[in-house]
Amino acid sequence: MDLPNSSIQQLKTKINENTSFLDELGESVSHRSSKVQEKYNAFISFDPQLIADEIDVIKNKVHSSKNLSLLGVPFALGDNISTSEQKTTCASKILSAYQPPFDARVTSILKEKGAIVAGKTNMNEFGVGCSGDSSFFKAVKNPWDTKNTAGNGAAAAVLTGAVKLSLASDAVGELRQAASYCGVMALKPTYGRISRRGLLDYASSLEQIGIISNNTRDLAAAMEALFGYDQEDVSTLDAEVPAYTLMLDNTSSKIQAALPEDWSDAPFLQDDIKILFQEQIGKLQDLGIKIDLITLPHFRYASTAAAIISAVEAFSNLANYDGIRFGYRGEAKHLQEMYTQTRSEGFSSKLKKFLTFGSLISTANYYNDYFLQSQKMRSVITNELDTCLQKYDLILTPTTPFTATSLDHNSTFNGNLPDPACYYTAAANLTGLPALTFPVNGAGLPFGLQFMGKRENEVELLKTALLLEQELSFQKPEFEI
Amino acid sequence: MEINTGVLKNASLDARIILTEQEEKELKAQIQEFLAVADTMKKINLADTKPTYYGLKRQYNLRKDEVKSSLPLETSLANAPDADDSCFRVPKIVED
Repeated sequence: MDLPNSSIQQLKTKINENTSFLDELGESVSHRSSKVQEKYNAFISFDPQLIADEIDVIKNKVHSSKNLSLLGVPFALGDNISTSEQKTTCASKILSAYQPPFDARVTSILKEKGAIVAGKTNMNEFGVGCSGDSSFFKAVKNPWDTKNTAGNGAAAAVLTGAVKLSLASDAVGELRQAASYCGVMALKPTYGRISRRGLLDYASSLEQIGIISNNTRDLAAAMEALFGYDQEDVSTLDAEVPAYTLMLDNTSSKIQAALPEDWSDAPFLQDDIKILFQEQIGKLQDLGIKIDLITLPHFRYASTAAAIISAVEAFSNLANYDGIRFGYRGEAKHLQEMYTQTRSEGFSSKLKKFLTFGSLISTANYYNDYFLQSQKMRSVITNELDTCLQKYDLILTPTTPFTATSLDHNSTFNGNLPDPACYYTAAANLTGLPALTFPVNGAGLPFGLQFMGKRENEVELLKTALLLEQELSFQKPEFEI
Repeated sequence: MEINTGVLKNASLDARIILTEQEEKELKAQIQEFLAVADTMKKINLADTKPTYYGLKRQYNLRKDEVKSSLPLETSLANAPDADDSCFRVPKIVED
């Protein structure tokens, strides 16, 4: 069967007509995921037997359960989302053998709705960035050009059709950056839309689980299933979840988008992205989207503030990894030495430096000038974007200043703080606003158009994405799987 | 702002991390470059601005104050690098 091009509804119809189709589906998912793993190193955990076991469970539910809105839909989960039946490693040596005692809320929802969890995808260690240089399990290669990073395995798995949808984390833009690098769509929802229970996050006030998809309708179906209040996650929104799939019958008309006038000041902005983005602006205007240049004087500080806040929060969150209750334990005669051995041997060089930076900024000499100032800047940027979105439907920027970076790590900005890839994406995390990246063709590698929307108003992002899907032509190669 | 190597070392020990000499050197350079950028943000007068610490603009929803069972002992110890029947086992605390 043509899994990549089958809609969620088509899968459901086929399964309801003949339950044994699930076996064929399971084999296709196993085969495709195996090939994607072999070629691109997209997965950390992937077990055909587990997929077969899941198929058996789903078969028993088909005619007895009512709300199987994701029946037979194969998903991949980033490996910082807890799964009780598979390891959850966060792509780190320190958790390389860790198997959670419970499922994340999103994992439970997928199972309840009849989805297939195909495997756990590769990423940067603990989801910090998507440069491809810190996973304990080596980097994910970009299917467009394997000399470059895919950002994360979740994006690569969707691009190549191994799965229909992926879930992955986004603290300062990692999910959207990976989607931009791979030429797929991704949504970071409003903070609180998706439960973070069972997410091993590094920056709690910034990080969300987001959704990666190849098309708008699948994205809408996933949003309907996954959004919602969770009484065991105090940070979830107790807000109505619209029937997104029913709202896509009409695309948006008369969209008004704001474009920060200094968007091209991003450090390391690739010349071809600058030119191609301006071409895309023209195409969007031809589609009837009104685009105004506006002043957002503090937008440029978003990635700096987010880098500081995320480092301090990571210093706190990752203090949990001490070798006592779970994970890798370093050899030592005494307890204090054990802590330092465990963490020095268990974390990558990149993560150790990031945590040290977070520790430094937490100290008295730096706290007021940098951390507190960043939290104040966060308030300023939040007010600025909320005010802008009172007049406009969306804020438009490129998703990243450059296409997928090289895996030889010789980029001129490798290791920079703040990560230049976050220049456009970090504002959505700081402010809690929803943001969607939509793929467009670059000179060789793809890149993304990013739309930030009003708080809790993801439907405008979906309608915009649907319009672009129908009117813009995105070409991608056939990936031999 | 010049970063003192001693201060950096203390910060890494606070994080219970030992950096190699090469890592210290790289991090010092990265932080110095970063702070030069961050100092432009530092100069903006935000004295009257309240900080934002949380991601949610709305009130956080607390659950009811009800007693619920905790993680069972066996489950708690399942991933432990070293444990006996009821406790995590660790190296001694007090140095000789």
